[in-house]
This record gives sequence, structure tokens and C-alpha cells, in this order.
Amino acid sequence: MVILLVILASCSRQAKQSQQSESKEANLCRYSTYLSVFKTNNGYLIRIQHPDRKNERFQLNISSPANDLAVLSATHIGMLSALNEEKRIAAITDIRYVYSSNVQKRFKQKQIIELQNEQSMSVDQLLSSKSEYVIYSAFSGSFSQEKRLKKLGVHCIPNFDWREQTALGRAEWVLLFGVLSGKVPEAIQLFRTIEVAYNRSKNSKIVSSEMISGNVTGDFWYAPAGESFMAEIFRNAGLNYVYHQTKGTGSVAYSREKIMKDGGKVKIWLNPGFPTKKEIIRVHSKAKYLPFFNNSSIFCYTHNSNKYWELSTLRPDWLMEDLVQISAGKTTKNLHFYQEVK
Amino acid sequence: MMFCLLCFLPIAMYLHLMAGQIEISFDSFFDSFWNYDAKNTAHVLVREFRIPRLFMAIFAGAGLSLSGMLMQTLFKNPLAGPYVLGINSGASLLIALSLMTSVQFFQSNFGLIGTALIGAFAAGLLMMAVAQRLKSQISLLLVGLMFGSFTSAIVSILESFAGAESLKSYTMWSMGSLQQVEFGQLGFIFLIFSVGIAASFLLVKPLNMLVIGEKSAVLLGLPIKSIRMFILMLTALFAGLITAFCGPIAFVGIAIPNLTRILFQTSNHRYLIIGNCFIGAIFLLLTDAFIQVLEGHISIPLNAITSIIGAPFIVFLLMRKLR
Repeated sequence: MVILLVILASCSRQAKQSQQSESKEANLCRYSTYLSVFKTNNGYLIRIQHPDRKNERFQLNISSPANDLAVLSATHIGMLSALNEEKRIAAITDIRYVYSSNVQKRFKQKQIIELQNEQSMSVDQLLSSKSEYVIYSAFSGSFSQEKRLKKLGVHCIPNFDWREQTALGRAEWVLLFGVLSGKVPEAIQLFRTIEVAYNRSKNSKIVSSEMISGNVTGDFWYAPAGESFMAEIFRNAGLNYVYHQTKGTGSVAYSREKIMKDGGKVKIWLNPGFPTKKEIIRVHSKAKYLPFFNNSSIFCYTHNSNKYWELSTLRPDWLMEDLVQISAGKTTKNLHFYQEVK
Repeated sequence: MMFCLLCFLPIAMYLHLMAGQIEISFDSFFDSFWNYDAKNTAHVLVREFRIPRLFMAIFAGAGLSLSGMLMQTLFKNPLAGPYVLGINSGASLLIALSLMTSVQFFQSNFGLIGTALIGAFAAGLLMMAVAQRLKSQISLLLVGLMFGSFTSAIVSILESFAGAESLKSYTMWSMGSLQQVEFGQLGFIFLIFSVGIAASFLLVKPLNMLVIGEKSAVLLGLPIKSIRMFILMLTALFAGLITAFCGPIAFVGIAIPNLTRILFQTSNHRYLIIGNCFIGAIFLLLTDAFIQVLEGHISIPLNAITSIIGAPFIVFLLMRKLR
């Protein structure tokens, strides 16, 4: 029993020592809550913390760039495109949701395959793409194929950029793709440019009239909660968001009556989910009775949803520029993502 | 019992009207009818939101219960409901085809409600055509269930190929809601509903005869084929209308007819028709009022509440039958 205790104690000491040696290197990420990137002697150490399960931590040492990657979310494509590394993409989920013209071209040339849904993708198809790494988002909590793929020698890397609470924290995940494509200095440089542009275009105070975001789904109006990443961007863009004081980091669900009551002074409606007023009414016929349907400026990114989903995570500076222009009521013709809904 | 229901319906209506999150004075309430001002939020709320929602709860509750009762008597099965005819499936299929394909034939200009209405009635007509060729009620029940499985498989395939926008539109329709109906549409719904109720009373005698069994009813001179067609037509009318305007609402059509039978302790359809209308309407009014009260704290879809109440009730019925 005594021998066993001694062995256990020495094991735990060794583990502590190894943690200390890792933490000597500076984490290259400054904003991200869940991603850490460390430079090591022979490459980079990636550490990803699960947002919900505190004891679950993914760790991987990458010493050389990957040749073939399977990327299961639009934001991953956007980040690789920004580093001019689309050539490393071997598999995607659905070509219809791709904005990058290079990826579309390579798909037509059969250099990229489609895997469909993250949860129902075919392992055989994935193996045929010869991908060394699979980057998944785990929108439903986990990635069902992870264990099977691990046995087959394919590394599965979770990407929790969508769980970050700050815009720059999300964009910083570009460093992960920098490591995978062997372009860490370029990724750091790109992120710095984004960081500077984002902070420069921020508004220090609220300048717009009242603004509301979201639309009705079923019986409820879903809008970003006051502590969410989107509400943070609204605040930084100087938008006077109606629900900026609500609690929570996800979304709030309100009845149509509450929206009628709270929306009396709204002059800007963002993200109704459709590119034209006609389409809004087609799905939600009573939208025409909303006090801000006719009397406000309506903006949405749905004229080019693919561009928004692919690039807005990486380019919060562009998103900020759009929203700053909208909040100031300036000319809104050359926006990056948004367009007026008419 | 009838007197209790008569008293309780206005109470349920009042509770439903007042359950909203915004307090509305009686003056504003009456002004929204007689001095309607489209710029007054209270007027718009009453006229365009609360009144249509109130009447839709009444029509949907009564209509689904009534069509459930018709199906249960026809199939002599307490678990039959309005959707065994595939009405919901027909509406869902046409909506899915119009939203998620670019086939010109399915692109209607009637809006989602019009498209759902056409789909629901087309499914009803198809089932009636099949019913004419089948002798057994069980076969018809099975055909209805198979039709439902077949259409949901097609919808699943369409969903997997659909674009994000169209998928979103379809999902929003399929979630179901009492709040889609507009004030101006209430007259049309009331007209169809009244015709349906009047037609149901014409069926009282045949329905009472069907209770003693199909063979005995035929021996007593019941023209079974035409009665069956009439019942199917009525069910398609009610379920089609409600599905088109509200989307699918679960369990009301199965649970309420059974509850009515338990409360009324009769198989006389004269009373069952009235009872189903009242109990169905009161049930949906109270359920929806409850949802409105909770709306400030938690968002629960109507379908979830009706299922939470309806599913255990059906299990209770099954247990009672098995004992």
C-alpha cells in the first residue's frame, strides 16, 4: 500500500512538472478563451478547452503543415482562404454554402469532395479524400465519428470559435489554421491587422437611434442576449440595441406582443433573415404590423449569406465597419456583408 | 355538463384575451373594433394579434376534436385522429415542394397558407379515392399511415437538398402557431367551420348507427360507402383548414374526443359533437393562455404543451383499455 502511494505521488508530481514546462512558452492567443497555441522546439502545440466540459482538453503537437484537410464549417474555409491556403482543403460539407471562388473551382475540378452533414458524413468518403486532419465544430455537442477516425489515424480537431464571447476571440482561431497550413507568422500578421482595424472602427458611445435584431421563428422572436458576442459588436458599433441589458450569452426569446411594445421607437431593424420585405411577409405575414416594419431602415446579410458565414467570424472589422455605417445612418452602398432590405 | 361548458367557454375566452404581456384597457379594446387606428399599438395588438389568436384557438380546438371524433367513430378505434388521413402530410409535402424545389408546377402564388390548404385537400381527395376501392376500415387506416410515412420520407430528402433560406421557411411553417391568422381571414374560416359543424349534425344518426358496428349498421340500411365518404370529406375539411392556418397541432384530435366520451358518458353523437366543440375550444384556449402567461419567462411552443398533456392521457387510456 505504501509503495502504491509513493508511486501515485511521484506520478502526480511528474504531471505537474510537465504542465509547468509547457506553460513557460507564451500563448500566442490573447483573446480566445478556448484556444491556446504554443511554440515548441519542433513545431506548435495546440490546446483546445471544451467550453462545457471543464475536464475535457484537446491537445496536439503539430510539427509540419498538413497537405489535406477536411473542414466541416464555412468559417474554416474563410480562414484558410484568407491565408491563401485553399489548396489544402480536401473535403467540405456542402458546396452550396461555399463563398470562396477558389474552393468552388477546385470542387468543379474534383479536387475537393462533399461530405454532407457533420453528424451523418460517410467515413469511407472522408478516407477517400486522404485528409490528415478533420476540423469540426461540434454544434450538437460532440463529433460522432471522432473515435472511429482516431483509430484510422485521422486527427479530429474541434473548433469552438462559435462559442467565443468576443469578436476578436473568434477571429483569433485563424492561428489554428496558420499552424495547420504552416503559416503561423502570416496568420498572426493577419490577425493583428484585423485587431487594429476592429479597434479603430469601434465607437466609444452609442450614436444610433433604437435598434432591434432578429425575427419571429414559430411563436417567438429570437434576438441576441445582452451579453452575447453579437450584442458586444452592436455596442461597439454605437448601435442602441433594445435588449442590450438582458442577461445571457445566447439569445432571448420574446413574444410578438413584447416586440410590439418594445419596438415602438425602433429605427433600425437588423437581421430579419430574409433579403426582401416581400419574403419576410411571405413567412411571417404579421410582420407588416410591427411598428418598425415601415418606419425603419432594415438591413440583412442574406443577399449573400455564404459570404457572411464564411468571412464574418474572421473579419469582425468588416462587420464593425458595416454596423458603424448603419448606426451613423451614412451611405450604406459599399458594405461588406449587409445590404438594405427593401 | 353542457351548462358548465357553456359557462366556462366565455371565462376561458376572457382569460385568453387578458393573458397577453401588455395590459390593454377596455376602452382600447372596444375602440380597436369601432374606432380602429392602425398607428395605435394597443388597437393593432387587439385587432391583428389577440382576436385572431383567440378565434383560431376556438376553431382549431373544436375542429380538431370534432374531426378526431369522426375518425374514432368511423374506425371504431379510440386512437384514430384527424391526421391518420394524411392531411397534415399532404400539406407538409406541398409546402416542402413549393419551398424547397424549383419545379415551376409547385410554385404557387397563394402564399404558404394557400399552398398548405391545397396540399391538405389534395391529400384528403386522394384518401377518399382510395377509400372507394377498399372494403376494410383497417386497410384505410394503414393506407393513411403509409401515406404519412411516404410523404415524410420525401420531405426528409427535400430537406437534405434544400438551400438554407428555403429550409428555414419550411421549418418555421412546420413549427405550428395560432398566431399566423389575420383578422381579415377569420370570416372565411368561420364560414367553412360553420358549414362543417352543420354538416356534422346531419351525420348524427349514421354516426350513432356506426357505434353498434359497421355490419349491423348496414343491416339497418345505412349506405356505408357514401357515409364513409361524407365523414372523410368533413375530416379533411376541418383538419385541412386548421393545418393550413396553424401548422400541425399534436394530440388534440386524439385526446379530446376520448375525454369528451368519458365526461359525457354517452355515445349519442348529438351530445358528443357539441361536447367536442366546447371541450376542444376550452382546452386550446386555456393551453394557449398558459403559454402567454409563461411567455415573459420561458418560450414553449404550443405543440409541446399539447403533447405534454395529450401523450400521458393517451397512455392512461391505453392502460385502462388493457386492464
